[in-house]
Amino acid sequence: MGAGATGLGAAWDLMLRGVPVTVVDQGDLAHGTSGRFHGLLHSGARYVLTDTVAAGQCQTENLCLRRIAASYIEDTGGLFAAPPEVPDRLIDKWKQGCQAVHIPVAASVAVEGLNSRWSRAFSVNDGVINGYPLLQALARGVESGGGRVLTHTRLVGAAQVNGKIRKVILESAQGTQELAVDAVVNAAGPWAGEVAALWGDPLPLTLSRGVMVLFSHRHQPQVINRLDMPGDGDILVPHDHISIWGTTDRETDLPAAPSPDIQEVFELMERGQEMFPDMGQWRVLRAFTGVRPLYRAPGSGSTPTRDISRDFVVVEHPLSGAFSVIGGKWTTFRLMAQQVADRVAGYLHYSTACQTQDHPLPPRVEGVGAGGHAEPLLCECERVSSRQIQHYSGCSLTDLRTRTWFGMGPCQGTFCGHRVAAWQSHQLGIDQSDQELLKFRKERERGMLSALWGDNAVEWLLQRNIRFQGLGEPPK
Amino acid sequence: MSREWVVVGKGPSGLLSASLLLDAGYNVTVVSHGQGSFPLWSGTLDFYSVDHKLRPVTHPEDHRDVLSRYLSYDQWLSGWDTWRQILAGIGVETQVDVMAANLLSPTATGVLYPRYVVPNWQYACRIPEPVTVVSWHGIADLDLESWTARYQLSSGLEAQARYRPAPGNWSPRWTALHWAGFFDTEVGMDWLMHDLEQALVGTDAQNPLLLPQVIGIRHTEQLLNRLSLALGRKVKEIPLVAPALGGIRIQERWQKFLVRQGVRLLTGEAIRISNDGVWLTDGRVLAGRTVLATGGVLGGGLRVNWDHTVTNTATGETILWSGDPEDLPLLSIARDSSNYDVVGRSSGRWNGDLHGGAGQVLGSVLKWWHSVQQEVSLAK
Repeated sequence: MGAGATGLGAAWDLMLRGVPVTVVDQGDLAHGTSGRFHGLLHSGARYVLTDTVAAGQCQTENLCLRRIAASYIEDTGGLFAAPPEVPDRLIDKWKQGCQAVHIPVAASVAVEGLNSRWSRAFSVNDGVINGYPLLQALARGVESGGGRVLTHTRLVGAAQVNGKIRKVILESAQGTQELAVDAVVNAAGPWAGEVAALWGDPLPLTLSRGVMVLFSHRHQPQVINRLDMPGDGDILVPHDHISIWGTTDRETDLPAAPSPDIQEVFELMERGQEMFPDMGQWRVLRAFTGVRPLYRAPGSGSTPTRDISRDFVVVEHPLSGAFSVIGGKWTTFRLMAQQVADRVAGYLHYSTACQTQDHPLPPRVEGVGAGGHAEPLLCECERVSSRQIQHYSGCSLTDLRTRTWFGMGPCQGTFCGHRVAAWQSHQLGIDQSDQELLKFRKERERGMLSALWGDNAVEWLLQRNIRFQGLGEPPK
Repeated sequence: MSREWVVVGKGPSGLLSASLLLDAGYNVTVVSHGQGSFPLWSGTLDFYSVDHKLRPVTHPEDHRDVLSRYLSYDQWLSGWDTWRQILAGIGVETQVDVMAANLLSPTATGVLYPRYVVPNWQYACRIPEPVTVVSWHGIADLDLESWTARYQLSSGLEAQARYRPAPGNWSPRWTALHWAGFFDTEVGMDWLMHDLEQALVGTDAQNPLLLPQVIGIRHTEQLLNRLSLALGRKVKEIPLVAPALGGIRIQERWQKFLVRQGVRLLTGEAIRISNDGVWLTDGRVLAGRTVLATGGVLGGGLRVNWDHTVTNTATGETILWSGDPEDLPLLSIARDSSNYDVVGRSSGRWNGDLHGGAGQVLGSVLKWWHSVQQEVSLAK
């Protein structure tokens, strides 16, 4: 359950052990937390002061992903820079912590753009994960091994026989279906509590939301971290040609990602300008929220979410064959998958050991090219042609967006939304594609409105101008 | 009273203000930092297109109560007339409904949308009729299959569509400007004529022929007339999204006209306005009374900062914004104590995106112009 990093990772792991698998997600691949992160491949250095176990796991998995998923990792390197108020003894403690879990640390020179008073800086082996292509590769891998990936499909029930899980009931636009199963892995992230409730064993899950702000330029060539106790607004990640600045950490109730709280965005921007004095002038694109599923260990009481371990747990439910995996980091998804797959394989009496440490992920497919000189571009920011859109015909606009990346650039779909919707209408008809377009506009608008300043405010007004005055689109 | 005026901004509000000042005999300098909003605008003048419930408005007159908050209805009507005359003076003829009702004109996606005054090159009608549409591979804004389906939904009438291959020299880098530049050449015109003759085989000659708005920049009217004569039917354009040829044509003609009449057209960035005039970043000071037509947030006259303060980019003054996005178009930088006047989007108080952008231009410019004239008559 769950086509995020953990769920697809578990399916990939089980598939390599010879276990037939089906992956189910209520949305598309990366619908939940996996599609809403800053893209950081942790060295672990962020956690050495607070969480040695998570730090060590991050470092080991960092090296492992560089081996098995090299084409999905950008080796940017990372920098930890300490603000003036951080005492030297904390830096020493941090260095010792890094050493203890084998994170290579080297002194670094000052970085342009960074507050010049933050001169105590050290480089580590942080990197950047290209999340969407990596998950698409896992899904391809699972399918090529005979597994199935069912997106836009909800789990609505589970049935047992003699205390063992025997089938699950799934709902999609095509109707309801039953699927016979011998085991279920609940990797539904923030929704894991809802899934486990279906077999009557709720999980001690705490949800925490984090806001991130996207800027339309790659302001630094490497990841830049604030060297201090982990806090809000202390990581800048260069992601392809943009930058992601994050994050906050607030307890939240619902698994679906809420619109960013404007106060949290303010706080992020204030913190950001301590680190990068001119961040207020950077060209902002949008802000978004991700929801972290955290495992609150029994007895940890009311610890603030920031202090809950980024470690993960595998839960074996009283209902035989039902497993949940909760917590963890994107960086450690393979390890999480391995540990839950070990338990499942044991339960199903498969003796093959985990293969994923050494088995490279399916290679990157460069997708459908822009089509050279013959095809008109529908999205000029991200260079997406009509041929690419046609290739994914039948997808929702949102799924088209994450597959082709159309509408992700500075104009946030202003100039391409109606063009792509027109192509889509050839299959879906006008009524449905109009609804899709309105949904797309609202989703893009939600992110733009959360960071409504500078050229982004201009762009938002231009988008309204073109939608309402130019194209006569309905506002609602 | 000073005979010198400085207009900051060269969008529709800036040029309209400059024309009114010029006609009244003032010396006018137009200074602008950006391009102005013309290339984002198809050239239609929208008055009051949708009401507060977002329903299309047929007769703006029915909404006198709303409109009279800005000007009396008679002032509006004579204002539209003035603007049409100014446009005719620069060589842009327009259509308007005799009953002062909105015309209907299809958008690039096939929605019939109310428009008040429409340049002659653009298709507009009082009552929807069956149409024939031709477009070419590569014009991404105008997808004929969905256009005809939506036109049918919007009007209840059929649209015959002919989708044609692009000319041999086309490349995906072509924007509307490349197409228009091509059709402005002899070769392009010949290709167009030949292609349309083939495309129209089997179509109804009673229907007006609609083409994407790429039929030339400089020779549009001649091209459309030649096509109309040769093909034996009405030939008009459908406006596309930016770069919008309609606005570009109007801006080119208007600027040329003003310059020929003696208006100084300068490039420069205003940073301060004193009683002496406008100070530019490059050290120049332009003497005269000042009217800001800087376009509000959309035009760059107001810059929204991350902490929700808003800066008037021409003066450095800062105003506060509620943080409500809906208030952004309504923000006004005009102050009673200001030593400058304000027109257009920067004068706020009107949501041009919903109620017609040209209504905001005309309403604010006329209001300013009446106050200037009042001052003059008082002085006398």
